[in-house]
Amino acid sequence: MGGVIGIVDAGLGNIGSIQNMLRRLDVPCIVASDPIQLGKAAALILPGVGSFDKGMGAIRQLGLVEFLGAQRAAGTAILGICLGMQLMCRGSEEGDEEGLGWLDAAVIKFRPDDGQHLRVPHMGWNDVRCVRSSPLLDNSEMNRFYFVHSYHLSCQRSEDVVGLTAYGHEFASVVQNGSIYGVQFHPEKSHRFGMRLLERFVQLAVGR
Amino acid sequence: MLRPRVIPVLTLQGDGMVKTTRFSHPRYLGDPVNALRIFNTKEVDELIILDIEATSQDRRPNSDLIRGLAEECFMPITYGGGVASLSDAELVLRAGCEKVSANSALLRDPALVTKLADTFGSQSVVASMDVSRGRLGKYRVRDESGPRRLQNRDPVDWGRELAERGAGELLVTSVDRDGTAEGYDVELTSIISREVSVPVIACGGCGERGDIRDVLVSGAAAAGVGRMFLTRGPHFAALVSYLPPEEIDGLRF
Repeated sequence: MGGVIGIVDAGLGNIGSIQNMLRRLDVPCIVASDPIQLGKAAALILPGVGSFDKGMGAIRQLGLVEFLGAQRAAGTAILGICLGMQLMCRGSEEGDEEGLGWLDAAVIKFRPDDGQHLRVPHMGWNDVRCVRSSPLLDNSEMNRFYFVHSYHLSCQRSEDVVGLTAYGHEFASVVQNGSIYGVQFHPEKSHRFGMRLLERFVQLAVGR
Repeated sequence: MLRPRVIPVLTLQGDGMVKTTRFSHPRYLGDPVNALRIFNTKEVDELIILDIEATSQDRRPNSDLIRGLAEECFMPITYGGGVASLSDAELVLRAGCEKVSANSALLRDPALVTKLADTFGSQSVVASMDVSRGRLGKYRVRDESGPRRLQNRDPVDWGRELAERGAGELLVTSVDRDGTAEGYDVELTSIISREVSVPVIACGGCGERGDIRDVLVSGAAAAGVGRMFLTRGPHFAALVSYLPPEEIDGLRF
């Protein structure tokens, strides 16, 4: 099962859309919540929609915290999507749970007074500006994705930040630290822009 | 920069796509799967799909139909129609939609919106309301499925309550403008969006691009478009269209 992508199913959001896009890319994937199944995958996608504490609670209950930590230590490529990326941080203003702590970052809320007309959640299509090169993004292309979130990353290490998006102010919308990748938007719902990003993740992860 | 949200709204009667005028005279427009394929190739930003008969016919959301529609799309989809419980909503989200919309059921059980938001997150919950002017010219919420259609309910109060109870977005449809291409009811959009912090999707009346701009200026976070993107001409000839990306970017103000 060398080239299989594992989608972590912790009951957090719409996994069908990711499967649907990988199918269109002709990439085999398994959807599982159990470490033994997921351990067979060459790379992992950690999706997530919902609240931080619920997300961490679900991952913990499934015994995935240790598993994911071991996978990360082994250098397995892991892509966090939306809440999935936020869970990789130290913690969030949204909840009390401790995050996975892989990224030296906090997760903070958009303040409606940050700018005029700023409604929360940040919802809709927005641009990503590349601030450093990454296998996931090409700065010469249009990078436009679908966002829906009320909280965003605040990274301590600027070298982790790959892409910025402006909503009221600029925030980190794409991050990378070693084999860990995170995107705040939903590539699985972002037409060819998102499909290209997922394809690049698959390529770097399993060399397809 | 955040792109203006311009959202085709597909109305279904069962598995056929229709377009109504003032919520009456449904005209059959064809197979929604075909329309979705075209919208997907046009890289539409989002889609809303509403089964307008489900509640009055006491039908639950059709999982197979929704899954078939969602698989055609690489953009976020909101589905509404017949959603009256947590299990209905779960079925919709599991079938591949990002958001679920409820309308009539919330009039009978406002606490449902909180249950939906607590279970699936506010960002997945679109509270929908249909509004028309009553005899005295005041805006009133309508209940399309109930015996008394016009409710003695003020849409601003109702919108505020829905947002406070956890709705992530409000879909506000003007029954008086539906299918007329006379422009949005910008007054309605404006008085509701001023009172809530969640995004308001305005729907009903779009006839040209300038209407979209007007409703966004009035405070709507998004413009829902039915007739203009689904048909052409005075006789509702079926024709799927969308605006090119540069025209959508040009709607910023």
